[in-house]
Amino acid sequence: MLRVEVAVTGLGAVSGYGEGAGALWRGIAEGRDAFGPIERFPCGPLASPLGGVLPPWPGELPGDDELRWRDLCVRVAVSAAREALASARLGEVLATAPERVALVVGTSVQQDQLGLNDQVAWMARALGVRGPCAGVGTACSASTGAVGLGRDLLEAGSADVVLAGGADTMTPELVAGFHALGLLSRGRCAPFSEELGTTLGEGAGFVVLESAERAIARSVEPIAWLRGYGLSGDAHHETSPDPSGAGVARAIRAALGDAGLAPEQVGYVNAHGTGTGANDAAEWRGLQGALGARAEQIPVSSTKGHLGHAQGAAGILELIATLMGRREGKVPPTLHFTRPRRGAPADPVGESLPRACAWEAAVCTNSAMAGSNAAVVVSRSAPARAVRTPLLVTVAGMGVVVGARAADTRATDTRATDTRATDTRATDMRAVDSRAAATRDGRASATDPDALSTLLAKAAPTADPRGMDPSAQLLTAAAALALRDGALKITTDRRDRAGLLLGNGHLSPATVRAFRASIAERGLWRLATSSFARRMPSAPAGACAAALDLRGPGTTIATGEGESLCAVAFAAQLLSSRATGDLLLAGGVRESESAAEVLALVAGGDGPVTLAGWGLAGPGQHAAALQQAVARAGLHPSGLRPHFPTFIAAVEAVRSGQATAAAAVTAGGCASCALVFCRTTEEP
Amino acid sequence: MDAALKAHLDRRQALLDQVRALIVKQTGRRLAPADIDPDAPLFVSGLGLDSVDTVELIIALESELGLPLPSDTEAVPALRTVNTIVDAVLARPGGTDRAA
Amino acid sequence: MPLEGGMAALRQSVALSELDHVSRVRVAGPAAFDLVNRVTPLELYARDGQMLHTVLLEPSAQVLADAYVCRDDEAYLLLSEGPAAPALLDWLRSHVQAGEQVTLEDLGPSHEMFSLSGPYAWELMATWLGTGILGLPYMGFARGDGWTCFRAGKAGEYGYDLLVPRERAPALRAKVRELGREFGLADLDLPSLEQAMLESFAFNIRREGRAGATPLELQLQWRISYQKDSLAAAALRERRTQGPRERLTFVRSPERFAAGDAVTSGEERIGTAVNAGWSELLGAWLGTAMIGVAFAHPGVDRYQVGGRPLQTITPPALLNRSLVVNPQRHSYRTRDKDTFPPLVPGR
Repeated sequence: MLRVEVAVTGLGAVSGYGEGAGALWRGIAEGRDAFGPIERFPCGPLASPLGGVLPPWPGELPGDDELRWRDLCVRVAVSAAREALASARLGEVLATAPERVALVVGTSVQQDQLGLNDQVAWMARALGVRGPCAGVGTACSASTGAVGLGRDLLEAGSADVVLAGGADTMTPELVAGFHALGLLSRGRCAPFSEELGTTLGEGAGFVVLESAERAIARSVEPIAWLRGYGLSGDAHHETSPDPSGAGVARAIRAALGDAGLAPEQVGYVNAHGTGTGANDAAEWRGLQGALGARAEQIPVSSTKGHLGHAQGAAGILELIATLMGRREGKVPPTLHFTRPRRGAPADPVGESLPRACAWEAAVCTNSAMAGSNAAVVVSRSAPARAVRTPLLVTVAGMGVVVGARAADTRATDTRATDTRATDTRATDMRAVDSRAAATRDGRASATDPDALSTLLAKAAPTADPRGMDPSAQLLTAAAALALRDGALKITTDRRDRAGLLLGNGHLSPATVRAFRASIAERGLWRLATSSFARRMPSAPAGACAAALDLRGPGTTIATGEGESLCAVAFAAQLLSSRATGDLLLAGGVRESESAAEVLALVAGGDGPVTLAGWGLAGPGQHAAALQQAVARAGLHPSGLRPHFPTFIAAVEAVRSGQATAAAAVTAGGCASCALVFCRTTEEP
Repeated sequence: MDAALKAHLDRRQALLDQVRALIVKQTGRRLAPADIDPDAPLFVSGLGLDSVDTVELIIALESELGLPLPSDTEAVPALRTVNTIVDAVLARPGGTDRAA
Repeated sequence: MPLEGGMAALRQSVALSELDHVSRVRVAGPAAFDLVNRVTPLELYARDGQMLHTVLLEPSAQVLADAYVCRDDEAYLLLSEGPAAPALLDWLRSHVQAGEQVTLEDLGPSHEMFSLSGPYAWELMATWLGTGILGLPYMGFARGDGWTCFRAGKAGEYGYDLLVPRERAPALRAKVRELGREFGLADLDLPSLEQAMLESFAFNIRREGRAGATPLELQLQWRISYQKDSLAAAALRERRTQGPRERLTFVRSPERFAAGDAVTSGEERIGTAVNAGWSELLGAWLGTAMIGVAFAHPGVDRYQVGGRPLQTITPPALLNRSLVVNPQRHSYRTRDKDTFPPLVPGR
């Protein structure tokens, strides 16, 4: 089958330079940074804090601080998205087929109790987007990852148009956290140079992704071609990157592999380049590792000297800066660069104005706390169409934790409810699973930290639980159980190709409590950095990957209700369509229910259960999602009734022989999803 | 033993207990304060505290023991072990001298 | 007094030490984790390529060996000081349970070990093996072509222990010496290495290890876990409940003293010296002593050892240059331009 080639047909941005991608490039072209004093909230002990701050935004913002930053974030996201849609001339599509337009957003501004998906749903509503939507919760690498996942949605046929990008606004907690970690520069961010430290930024950016066919049919001239993307995990530390840069190298190699390009064909790298000692040194090592000698022959610059570190919007703003520059045959320089630090790139473009460089292919790379790395490859000219054979995805194992106990899913009651109602509640799963636990133990138990520690020690004896919040422990236990269930070991030769894709948009309640307690006790400017570092939906995934040594592709997505299933769908798409992973653990965690469930998916394996089809569609459109899944599986939908609300029950129904095929369907959250499992021998 | 020696030993024991309790609290380790050897390295080896812990510890030492460690030059030698922290506390102006 | 030879190299540039006194064994097979986990009093929270510094204990909680446990994929390497490899293997074998499949191999006959330590050891390593080695974290190990490199070190400096197949050793050593010339590489013999360990208050199984004490008295609690159900767990927990009666203390004297000398406070016997050696760095006799807990605090200079004046001090004895040398900023080649605090204030 021919691979879908993805064109970038529109883009839009809001940054410290103001509204519009044009304003962004103008600022860079004129050699000025977007830094100004952070005046939106008091900055405690910081003398004169600078940031890539947004210009004053029109309109009233809510009085409540927490809502205010989130509100501003949504507004700038909507502005950037509208610009992107307009630049791609998509007004009509939105009007006629909004359920075929998807939104994937990297963002980290969120309230303690709500999920990231609420933010995303809000943006989608404002834009009139009704297709599958997802948040990416990996903070600093989120929008780069969002672009990659957006590409996968197109490939999977779940959408015709994808708005992919990110949005973030500065909050007092963000500034305080970076300050407490000693990451802020005393002056202006000077990547790869002196002095050390970063300057925070904010903003929003989106690109519009469409297939080559659609772009041609609409007579839209692509701005560039999205050739490939790569993800990896450092599996190293909560806040510091792997100093060897191996994680960054893996992500870049995966992106180039996905693109079918060699290092010699890369003409420019837009690096993450935050300006901190740890990031910059590791990143250059990673670039050298991935590109070899080529790394020293090409310009490698970071636009954080212009924009600051915009967190969830960093990757997309940097990609947009790269694409805007290319329109003029230029690359952005690394602003504020004076003397190179030891271990700086050979050519960091340490100039004040953009340099002429007409690259054919460029790499944009970003790294995040908790070790998630993402890289995308873009090119000017269209790729030759490649043939690609999708790989079979099988379920090698499953691990389920409920009430902080490993659930024996074989006792699962496989009766399920029909998802004709749009309202698939998690209570169904709870009922199903507590019946399982109750059958085995006589009672279901509530959150019990000792029970959790014991479970984790048994499931993963070499995983260090210290420094893991309950979400991380639950997820690690479920992942370890899934590996054990499939008799899988992450040996040295497998770990670079074994990853974790987590569906989670919530913060760990325990971490939030610790975070707020430290602020109440010691003041905001002395908050507990460990809680700050864990205050991300992707934190449990980072901790689990570190504990189990999973260094392959992975990320964290948030879709709300049923996000475990969505994570499996994204994981299956990734596994089946590219050669960077052999094993992906995928699933979800809910600390409030003391529960986690993980599937071990293997590319081309020979387990008894095959994940034959998957589909993603807009909220409430589970019929469309099921249609996609069934079509991919080559089965008839009538044989799949009733639908299960969780993949646990569906997998077990097939595994136990009660059904030859079963579907797990969710209509909730900001994306509906369907997964079709069948017995491996039944696969046509 | 004489009074001056006793005073010194008591002072050091009290500070030892206080600093160890502070470390346990700030770093969230599941240790009893007495489990922390007074001369065990705190960072890199020994207890293996990391850069995140350093920040926590410096903040707590200042607020609870009045020990400011404004720069690496002061912090690095002071934070090597519990006893070096106690030395630094005692060396502040107003800290007690050792038993002569 | 300026340092000379191996000691000068260890404290100021790079020193090379032979590690013949380190037993090296490999535990492999399906039950490797179970066996090593059973005999290790610390939780084996290690990923592939990570090492843990621990002690091997008798059921009485007395220290049998000073060991690094290194996870090599699904196998474990034990780098141990104390029992020679054959005795260590016998001890390990005695703890294998029925039905467990495990292979125990002494790597001594097939491998040599030596270390490169010092404030610029990282730079010599990078010059030799490429800048990639700078990414190796402390207590991590890396495998290369004909070498395994463990980043550890007991002298308080950057330390890299190299495990090398015997047939590759001569060529590797020659290369290291050749590159080491630029760094003033000098040999540090075992007695000098042990003196350096003493200056860093690093536990020496051949000295402090003879006191017959447990980790509680030896200030080695950081190498064990009271929560772990290991061989010595019962004894460890009991000692912990009772509390130590004496504690290993760092001491110095202007006059010579020796292991076994009584430590007194006036008329009262308060302990015994365990280790002693002349420190060129401090210009004094340095040592360790087991002293009653009530007396075992630094900053007392009115005790006696063997009748001679004794001071209790806070270890380590020096501000190791390695603490302030930063691979991202400094270089041996430009050291004259850098100002560092003195190794010992006032000297």
